[in-house]
Amino acid sequence: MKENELYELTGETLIVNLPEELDHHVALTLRQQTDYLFVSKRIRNVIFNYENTSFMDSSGIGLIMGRYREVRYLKGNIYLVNINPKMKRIIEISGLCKVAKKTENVVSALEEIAEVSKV
Amino acid sequence: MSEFNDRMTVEFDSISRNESFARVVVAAFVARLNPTLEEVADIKTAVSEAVTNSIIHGYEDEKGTIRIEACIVEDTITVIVTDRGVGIEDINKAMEPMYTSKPELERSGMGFAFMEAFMDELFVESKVNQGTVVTMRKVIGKGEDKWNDNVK
Repeated sequence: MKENELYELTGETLIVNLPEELDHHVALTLRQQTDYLFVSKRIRNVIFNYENTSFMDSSGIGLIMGRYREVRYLKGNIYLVNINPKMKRIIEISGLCKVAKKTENVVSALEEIAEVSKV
Repeated sequence: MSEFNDRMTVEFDSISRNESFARVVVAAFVARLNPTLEEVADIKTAVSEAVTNSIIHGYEDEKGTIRIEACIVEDTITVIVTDRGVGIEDINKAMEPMYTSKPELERSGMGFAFMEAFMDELFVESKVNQGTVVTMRKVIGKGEDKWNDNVK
């Protein structure tokens, strides 16, 4: 897992390309790395890209809720993109869909962020 | 209906790396019932939740042993996850959705709720300082595969 492939930063938006499986083991590492990015960079929005992800449990939900709390300080948003049916079910059951925005892909999320910052 | 009567047991150390091992083992075991992709995903999530609970709460990240027993009787799989950790003082409280005893670890409090949602039956037995036994049951072959071929 190379860090530069996992994270991309454009402006104040952090894109996290999630790994294949998002469980407690992986969430521990992701939390440490994103916490480091949060203190060293100005991050207002986070896009979680599920393109390569086929497994997520409640630890993954906890990770995203934690990042949600952080972006709310700067009135930013969390975006969940490239959600497959498997992930959709978990996201709906967990209530994550109530706090995070869902868009088709990274490009559409970035467009929405640009729209929001114009206002 | 296929008539299987099978059982298996695995034991492993309580380290987070073993969470994926545990769910893959159970998924491989249930494969003989020809479950749908959705059923396999449900079982994997439930096993992952139970094992993560044992690691974080049962053993509080200390070294311990987690045992998984699974058995198949006809079309039903039963999975029993056992630890000899600190146990749960108030099971009803622990099972409340969104309740977590460790918010500082960014636990969502959804573990038992997911086990309940994804399996047909869930029983939790626990004794303080003795450990916890989580028993989950699921009937395979009840529903059609809602995902069909659209699954990535």
